Amino acid sequence: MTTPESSAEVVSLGTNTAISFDAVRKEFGSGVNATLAIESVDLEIREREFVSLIGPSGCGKSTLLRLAADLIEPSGGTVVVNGKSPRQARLDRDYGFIFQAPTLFDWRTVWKNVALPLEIMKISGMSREKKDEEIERLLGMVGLDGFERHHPYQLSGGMQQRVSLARALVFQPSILLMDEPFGALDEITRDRMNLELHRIWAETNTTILFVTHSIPEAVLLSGRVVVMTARPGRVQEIIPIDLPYPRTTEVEESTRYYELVTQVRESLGQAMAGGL
Amino acid sequence: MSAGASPEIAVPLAARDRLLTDERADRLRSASARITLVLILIALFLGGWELLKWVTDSPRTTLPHFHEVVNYLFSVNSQGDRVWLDTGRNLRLTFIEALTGLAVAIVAGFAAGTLMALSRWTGRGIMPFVIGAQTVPIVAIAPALVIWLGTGWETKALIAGFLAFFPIAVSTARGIGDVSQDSLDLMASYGASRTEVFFKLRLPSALPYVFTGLEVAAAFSVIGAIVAELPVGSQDGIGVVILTSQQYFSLQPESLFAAIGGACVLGGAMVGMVRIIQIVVLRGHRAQELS
Repeated sequence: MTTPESSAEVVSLGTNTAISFDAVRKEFGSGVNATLAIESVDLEIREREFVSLIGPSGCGKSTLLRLAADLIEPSGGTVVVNGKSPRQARLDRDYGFIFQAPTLFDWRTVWKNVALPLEIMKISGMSREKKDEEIERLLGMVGLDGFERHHPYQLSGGMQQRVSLARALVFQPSILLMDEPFGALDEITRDRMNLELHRIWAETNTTILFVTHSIPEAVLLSGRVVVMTARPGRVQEIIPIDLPYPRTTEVEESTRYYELVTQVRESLGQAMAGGL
Repeated sequence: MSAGASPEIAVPLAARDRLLTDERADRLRSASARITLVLILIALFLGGWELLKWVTDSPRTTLPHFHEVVNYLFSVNSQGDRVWLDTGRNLRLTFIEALTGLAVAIVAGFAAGTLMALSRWTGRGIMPFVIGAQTVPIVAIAPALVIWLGTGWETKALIAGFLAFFPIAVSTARGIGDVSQDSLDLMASYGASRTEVFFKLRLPSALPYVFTGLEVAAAFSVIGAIVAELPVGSQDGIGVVILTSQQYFSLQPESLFAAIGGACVLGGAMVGMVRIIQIVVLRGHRAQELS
């Protein structure tokens, strides 16, 4: 397996493993209708790392994410999250999950949507004032102050996804699992959200596993890009991204950035050829 | 979409306030438009009534003038009561029957709908009974129920509730069940219990559906109460007034029309009441679901 060449990174990674997949296999359905979504996936993500999963449609990127989130169970192999079973990690609220659709509750205001996880989790040692402060701080961080009392349907798609980001961060999970979070947004909003996400990642101590369809997005954001093959999904190649931090618009215009985009694209091309 | 759709991080405060004021003004405008529409419809109805009478050259014993019906309401009947007071008394009784029936139907229908949506086996057990409740011709069994349970108002409330049950059960089942997989996954990722999923996700997202069913149920409850009053033996209620008015139609044709009008007002009032509750309860929900 390719080791991450993280020496070039200014951002220091933790020494522990946040998520590990060991010979993971997932089959949907049974008998003749069974489809093998992923097979023999080995992958280790270190604490504080930003890793993107990229691959052709149906390669099982989302499946990997859902396995880590304990929303589905593996058919074989083991998934370990923060040294625990995914179920225990879920019950310990170790991760925040961000879906492609913002998945906000229309009947709740922006404020109350962000407060939802806190209502469900009985977080000890967090007073009401502290919670309110935290919600306010996060809404500020995602650029939504002044919109607390709006309802989701009064916001644009980009703003809704920001609310969902604030909601995932409010209980301070150590891991963010993001399933094509900006896939439905227009190019301009998407670019902006990417840079913001990167800033938030740099400011917090969060590990991010990021599923995307976009090669430039994957290269810009990640420490490592995991290229997957077509169904059944396997890890084709892990490409370390040795771009300087912080990742800004200047980085996006550098020659190295273009080289890496090309490298990922070629690897992806091979992955698709192999799958067909 | 509104100005909030701009990709900019923040809409300027002044623009946002203007947006809200616009929304309020829109709501006011649509309310006054609706009232105007209702007035126009009433005028058309009355015009049509009088036109029909004029074109067909109907005598009073077939179709009285509208003002004759109104005059009748203010006359004194054989018992020495003002007719409108007597009609009001009967309407009140029918209203109580319908409202009690509706209340019972809400409780039973909501429970049945929730079970149908959440529990596969209990749901399958209940389903035939819910379908059965819908297919039983209520007009046919109402007399039997009156014979078994007596002519008291409770029997009529039961029949009203029976009719109102089905739309509530079905719309509740639909609403409680219609939750996106992402929302469920989101709740699961918080380690939410089944109770929390129900109260924080399923119930609030089902409310617009439930109210749609409730509106139909409100109208059905009035129909049920009136039908239940028709069998011989009942003494009071607007259904009884309709029945007697029909028997004396050639002598006092205005009476039947007054009773029919009263029944329509009652039905409208029940549905209107549900609407008002809906507007209050669903304040935070998506605007178009309110209209």
